Amino acid sequence: MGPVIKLAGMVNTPVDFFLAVCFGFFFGFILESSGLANCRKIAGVFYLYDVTVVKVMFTAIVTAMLLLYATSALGILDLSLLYVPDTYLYSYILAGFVLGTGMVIGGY
Amino acid sequence: MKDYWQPYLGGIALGFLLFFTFLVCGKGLGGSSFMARLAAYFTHLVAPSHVENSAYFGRYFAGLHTPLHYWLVYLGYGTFLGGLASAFVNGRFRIAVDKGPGIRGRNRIFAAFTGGVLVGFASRLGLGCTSGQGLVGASMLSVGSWVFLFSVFFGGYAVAYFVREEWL
Repeated sequence: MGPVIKLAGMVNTPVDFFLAVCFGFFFGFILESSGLANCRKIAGVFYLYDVTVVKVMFTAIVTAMLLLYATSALGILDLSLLYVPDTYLYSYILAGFVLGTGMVIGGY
Repeated sequence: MKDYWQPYLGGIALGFLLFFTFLVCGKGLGGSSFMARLAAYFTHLVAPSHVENSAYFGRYFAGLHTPLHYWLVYLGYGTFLGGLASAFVNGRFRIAVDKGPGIRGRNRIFAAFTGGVLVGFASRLGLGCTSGQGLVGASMLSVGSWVFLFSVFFGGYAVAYFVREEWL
């Protein structure tokens, strides 16, 4: 039950190191291949000339969500063991607003 | 130069990757912690006492290891390599200033820097960026993450009009 290998924040063994770099590699590869490293595509979201970023992000969220809840329902994965960011509502509202502002100004 | 992937296929691939990262490691993907830790590490080289006494960055130096000895930092190295590999494989690798059609390179650099400062600050205030909060938190149906995500869009749309000459 639960995650196969639990990393406790610190990367301590060669296996953990290898896993982190591997997952990161696929992450970077998928992001670039989908066009999410392109600032014109990111800016496009805010002027509605290219909404690729929204399509990719929300498809990813829904896909991961379904897989997580399906495996949880089947008893393969224990969701309570997974990382969830703590909730600080007012900070997040302000942070989101500033991040969105920075994103449209900076493009990334 | 090859076309980008179909957005929905890219999204499904990203969703599967996120799921497998959770399944194997119990943690999600992230981007901004990598930058924060790099910044702390390099600032520490020139002003060690300042960083160690900082309420936020000090804890990075509390343990035995450097702040770079961390899951999201190794993930960040991989992300850099993966993005680079994708750019090479698809013939998109070039050294250039990526920008909208109507803006001069120097102004674009200034805008990118300004935006970067805002995003960097916001990602620490919000405990994550569009990866850590947007992808990870949202797929776990965390209320805070969804509030954050909608707030990002709200901020972007609120400001977009004022910087339209940068992109249109």
